[in-house]
Amino acid sequence: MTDDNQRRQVGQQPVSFLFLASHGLLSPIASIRWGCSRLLRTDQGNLSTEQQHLIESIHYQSRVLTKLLNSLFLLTRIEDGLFQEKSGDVHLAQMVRERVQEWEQLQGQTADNQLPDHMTIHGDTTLIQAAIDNIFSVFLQSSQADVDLEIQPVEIGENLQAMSISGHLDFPLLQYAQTIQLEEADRSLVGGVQGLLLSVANSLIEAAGGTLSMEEVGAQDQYYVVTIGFPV
Amino acid sequence: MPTVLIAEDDAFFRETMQLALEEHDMDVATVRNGQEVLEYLDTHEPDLILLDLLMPVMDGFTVLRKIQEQDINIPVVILSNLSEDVDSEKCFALGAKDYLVKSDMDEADLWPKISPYLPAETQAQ
Repeated sequence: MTDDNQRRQVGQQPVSFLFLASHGLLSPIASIRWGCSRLLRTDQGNLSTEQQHLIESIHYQSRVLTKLLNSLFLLTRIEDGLFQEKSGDVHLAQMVRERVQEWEQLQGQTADNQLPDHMTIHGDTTLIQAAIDNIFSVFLQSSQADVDLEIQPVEIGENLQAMSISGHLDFPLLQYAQTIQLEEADRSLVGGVQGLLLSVANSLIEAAGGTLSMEEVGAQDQYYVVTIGFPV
Repeated sequence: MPTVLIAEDDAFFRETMQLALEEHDMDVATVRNGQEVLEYLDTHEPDLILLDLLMPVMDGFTVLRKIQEQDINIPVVILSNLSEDVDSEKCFALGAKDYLVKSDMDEADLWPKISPYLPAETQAQ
């Protein structure tokens, strides 16, 4: 075997590992979600308030983990060349609205969101949707947040169109405050699932030829802007 | 009583699905891989097959292909972790009736999604 072949095979090992690991974890975590859903059904018997809250939390966390694993899985398939690029329109406003509705449903709160009725960006729909799903998983993870989101098209130069999601969120966790102080999204300061989600979102956006940057606008208020740019 | 064959390699998932379907008076048979699906179909004729895609020994895509080749007329609903269009399109081309993504649904969603593919008298339950 030549050195080049050896290097190629060794270089492919982390991707193969991630492929197997992400798929291997998806089924058990989906099982946890299904199991929790079953326990939460009223016809399965009464739960104390504490028990119900605990199971709802596990159910929610399993959904967040599933999103992460789906994205990792997708990423490994892109790396492996198994993914077929498919171009189309992404209905960003609709996607954001769905994520906010999901948040409202989970939290029993109403978000004060101001979203345009319709906005599309042309690109690789699966990649863009996965990236946006990831970003909103990070948002939704801060479940005590007061959500006020606005999404707008932004023109950056002649060849780059971007979307801007500006938001006012009260992040209860310090690690988020650290994250949004960075000009470029950097997961190194964020631990756990949230950090990985950011990392995966970043990779997906980069794979689509875009860049992810986050900037803090306000100091204590945590008003910030996430900008995702895609080549036109 | 209508019979549903579940092909799923994850034991907990298999059990959860079995419980969910038995609540709707389904007769449920379970297998762990694609090879076992084909062996089961040699001697049985279920009303519906719930098929995972990534399984050991033989994957779900191969099972769909074999079912198509052997002209077996049993509705197959895919229940998989693969969530990209390229996978669902491949399955529909191989004759799958529906394509469900495990992580996009809860246990309670299973029955409403698969019952339309069962014999008419079952759907009202």
